This record gives sequence, structure tokens and C-alpha cells, in this order.
Amino acid sequence: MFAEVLRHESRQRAVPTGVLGGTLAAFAFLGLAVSGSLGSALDSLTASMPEALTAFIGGDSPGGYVVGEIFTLVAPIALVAYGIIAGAGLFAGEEREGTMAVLSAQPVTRRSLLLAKACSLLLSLVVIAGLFWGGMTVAALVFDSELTAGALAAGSTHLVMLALAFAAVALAVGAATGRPELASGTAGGLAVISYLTSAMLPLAGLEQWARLSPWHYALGSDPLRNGIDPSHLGVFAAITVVALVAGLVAVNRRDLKG
Amino acid sequence: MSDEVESDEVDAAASDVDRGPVRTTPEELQGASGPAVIATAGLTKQFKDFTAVEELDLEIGRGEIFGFLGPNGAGKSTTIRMLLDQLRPSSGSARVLDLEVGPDSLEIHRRIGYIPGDLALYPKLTGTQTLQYFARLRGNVDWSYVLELAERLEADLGKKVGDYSTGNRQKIGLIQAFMHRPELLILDEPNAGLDPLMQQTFHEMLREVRAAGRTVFLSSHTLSEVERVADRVGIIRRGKLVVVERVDELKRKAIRRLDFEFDQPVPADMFEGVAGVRDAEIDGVHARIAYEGSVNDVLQAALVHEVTNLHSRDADLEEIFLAFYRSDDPPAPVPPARTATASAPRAGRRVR
Repeated sequence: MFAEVLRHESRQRAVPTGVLGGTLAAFAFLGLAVSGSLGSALDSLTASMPEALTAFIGGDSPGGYVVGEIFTLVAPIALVAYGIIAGAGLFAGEEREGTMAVLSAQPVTRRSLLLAKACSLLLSLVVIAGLFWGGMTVAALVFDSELTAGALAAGSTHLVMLALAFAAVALAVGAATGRPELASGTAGGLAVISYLTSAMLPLAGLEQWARLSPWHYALGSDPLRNGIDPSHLGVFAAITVVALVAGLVAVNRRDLKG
Repeated sequence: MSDEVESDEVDAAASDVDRGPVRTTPEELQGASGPAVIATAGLTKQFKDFTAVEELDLEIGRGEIFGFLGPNGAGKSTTIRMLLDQLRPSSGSARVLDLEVGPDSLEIHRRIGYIPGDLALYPKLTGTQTLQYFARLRGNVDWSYVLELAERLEADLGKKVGDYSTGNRQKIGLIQAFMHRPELLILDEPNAGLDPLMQQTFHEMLREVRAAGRTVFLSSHTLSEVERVADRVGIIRRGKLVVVERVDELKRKAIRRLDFEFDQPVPADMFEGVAGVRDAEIDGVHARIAYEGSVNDVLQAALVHEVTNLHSRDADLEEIFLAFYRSDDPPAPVPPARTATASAPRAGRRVR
């Protein structure tokens, strides 16, 4: 039953997953294609900026400004937004659409449903990030970038875990309330506030406070240079587990809608 | 005069209600045996200040078709959703197939089939994909039986659900409920969108389920749908179970109607004092009579004059149903025979 729900969910989300992954891969490829010609001009521009500002706009990334923009802005925002929207709709969305009425009368528990749906979400995030990684890796080879497949895999893994943490929060709020709008609003609000916190506080000399933001653990350890940071991934894993456990407890205590 | 009588009758009716709703137990039905398939005790659901279902005590035996009737918002779907563990009762308990709702709901779901009142399916899946999904979730579905059901209901499984008409979508929902030959079918307003021919087929399917010793819990707001197939009927009103009765018994108690046409105008008081007459509207040569019990006294009173035409209507549960659900009737539920006159004043002269 678990496998069947997982299969169904994956099929339901195949198109948006493929489109977003493909778009990110194409964007990454084009980004690296133009970064060669833009590189020297942008490097001289970012060299004159304060270090914190350069970091803020991603100018200090290996591969230069364009890679930085892709890794600090485009890909994480796309993955987090996708994770939140999909997570909010996974359980609560079925209640809003009314399909939960038939689904929850099948021989499957609410908790199995929630877990299967969470797994399907992780799977789709991995697929999107995998396509993105593929695009970046091919582009790095074609355009002779200093980026390696391993470094890109480390960076992509951090991004997947960042998105998974926010998606889990959205999924949990949706499972606890049955209200997808509230779920996406809560998780989306948290994502925006924590992003601004992570990006702005270092500019104000408050780097320590930026550690409160999940975004700090996405790229703060510079995975493109240093590889995977298990402790930072552990923070995401902890957020995900806490959110899921809260969702699993809450979903069993309430009335289902729809 | 009539106001006084009506008031007395309402009081009498209310005192009847104090003794609890009229009941017919599953054991009184031929063939019903063993533990109840559905048994609720004091089942109550409160939404903030609104009590959707109050102290519901219900017992349904194996092998019967039980009609669960009430207008929209009476608490039918809330009751069903509590039986399915989709809603958690505020108080009371329920057992389905001798298993406790809540702790044993996984096993209950395995053994029941359900179609919700407002059916929604996945619009991007075809009928086949939808049924395959639910069949795999169940794991004990004979696909040839699915195809047989689809053929019987003339359901097109090839199209996407989003492109279906309401009736076709409903057919997919019905196949989904029947396909694993469940011991209990819980059907919430299942006739929605089905044309009359399909309704006949659907009723045949219900009778086959009963013949196989399985049970049907059929909710509806239309009595005519249910009286054709149900053995017993429970009527719920404002969250309270008003009556549980055999369908034939309810029909016997029903207010029936006779329309007379005379060859010349008749006196307005010609049915006054006639036994069983609950209401008489007399307008020149036409008389419309509502009565209960034997028709003999009515006919004898009418045949004093020359009758040129007579139209009778079959006993119809609709009469009872309307009597229970008229918006102006008192809040306390009352037995059907009394309610018709106590709470449903009609235009025209009233005869007592």
C-alpha cells in the first residue's frame, strides 16, 4: 500500500518535477555558457565590493558570479518554493479537493499516507536536483569550468535538504490543519524571513545570528569548495524529522476535511 | 377549534417521543442474524456550538439494506464519516462488522466499500487508472469483476475523470465501492447523476448484495429512492434519529390521498367526523382527502353523492418524510401519523 501511494504520488507530480528539473538544468547550462564572457567584467566588479556583499550576491563562489547566483539564488529558491507548494498540497490538498474522502476509506492509515507522500516529495526533490546537477556537470565539462561533479553533487545535496526541511514544515502544517493555504503561507513566510535573516545579518556584522536561519546551513559551509558538511545536513534532517513527527501526531488527532 | 386540537396533538406526540424513537430491530427482519454489522451507542458529534449528530443509537443487522434518510444537513454524512473514522466522535462509540471504529478502522476499511456524498476523484487519471489505484491499495480485487461492473453500469473507463459527466464519475465511484465484494457497503447519496435506467441496475446490484448475505447502508434525502430497495429505514433530523422502522410498516402508517370528483358540488363538511380522515380540501365538485388506516369509511362517506372520478395515490413514504421535515414543525421529533396533521396545516377546510 505504501509503495502504491508512493507510485501514485510520483506519477501525479511527474510533469512539474520534470519541467522544473529540466528548466533548472537548462538555466544552469546557459548560465555557465555566458559566464565565460561575463566572467572578467563581473570579477572586477565584485572585487571592489565588501566581502560580505560579495558573499551576499554569490560573487565569491567557485566558478564566479554566475555560478554563485545559480547556487545561492535561483536553484534554492526554485527548490524551496516547489517543496513548499507541493508539501502544502500533499495531504491537505486532497482534503481541499475532496479526494481524501475516498482515499481515507481505503485500507491505509493516515500515517502511512503521510509518510508515503513525504517520501514521494523527497523523491521529486532529488529528481529535480539531479537534473539540475546533470545540467551543471555537463556545462562545467563543456565550458571548462573549475567545478567538479563531486562539488556540484555536494552543493545540490545541500539544496535538496534545505528544500526538504521547508517542504516538511509545509506538509506538517497541512497535515495538522487540513488547510493547504495556511501550510504554504506558514512555510513560505518562514522561508522568506529566514532567507532575509541569513542574507542580511552578515552585512550588519551579525554572522552568529545568521546561524538561526536554515539558509545558513545550505551554503554557509561552502559545499562547492568543501564538499558535504554532515553537521549542516544534520540540521536539515532534524528540522525534517521534527516537522514530520509533529505532523504524524497531529494528523491522527483531528477530523479529516472533505 | 383546530388550533386547540393541534396543540393537544403536538403535546401527545411529544410525550410519545419521550419514550424514544420508534424502533424496529434487525432481528425483526427475516434473515438478519449474528452480531450487528453497524452498532452505535450515544454517538455524538459537536462542531463548536453546533451539534451535527446527537446521541445516535443505531443497530443494523447482517444481510439487510438499511435506508438512512434525512434532508441535507441532518447529520447523515457526519454519521457516516464517523463510522469511517474520518471524523472523531465527541462522545459515544461505534462498532462496524463487530470491530471498534478507531482502533480497528484499518481492518474495517478493508472489509467495507464506500462512496461519499460529494464524490471527487483525480481529474488527470482515466477511469481505469483510478480504479487500478484503488484496487492496488486494496490488493484483493478481481479485475475481471471490475470490468463486469463497468459493463453493467455502462461506464467508460478510457476517458480522464476530469472529462466525465457527473453520472459517469459516479459510476467510477460505485465500481470502486463494489469491486472488492465488501461485506458492508456504505453509500452516501449514491444515485447522484445516474439516469433512471442506471438507477434500476444499481438497485439490482444492491439486491444481489443483500441476497449474498452482505449489508448495505444507504443514505439518501429522497425516500422514493430508498423505499424500493430498503428493508428498514432510519430517519435522522437535526442530528437526532427520529424513527427506525420497516419500510412496509412505514408505508402502512403513511398518510394516503384520494382525489374525488363529484357530479355536483358537495357540502364542505361531508367528511367531518369520518374515521381516519386527517385532512379534507373541498372545492365545489372536487375533494382532496388525506387519510390513514382503512379506506372504507372514506368511501362510504363519499358515495353518498355521485362520484364521477376517483384518483388514488399509492402510500408514499414521501408523506411521512415531508411530515418530519416541514420547516414549520416543532423542534421535537414526532411519530409520523400524528405529525401530518399536527404540524402540517394545509389550505382548505380541515375536518376533525
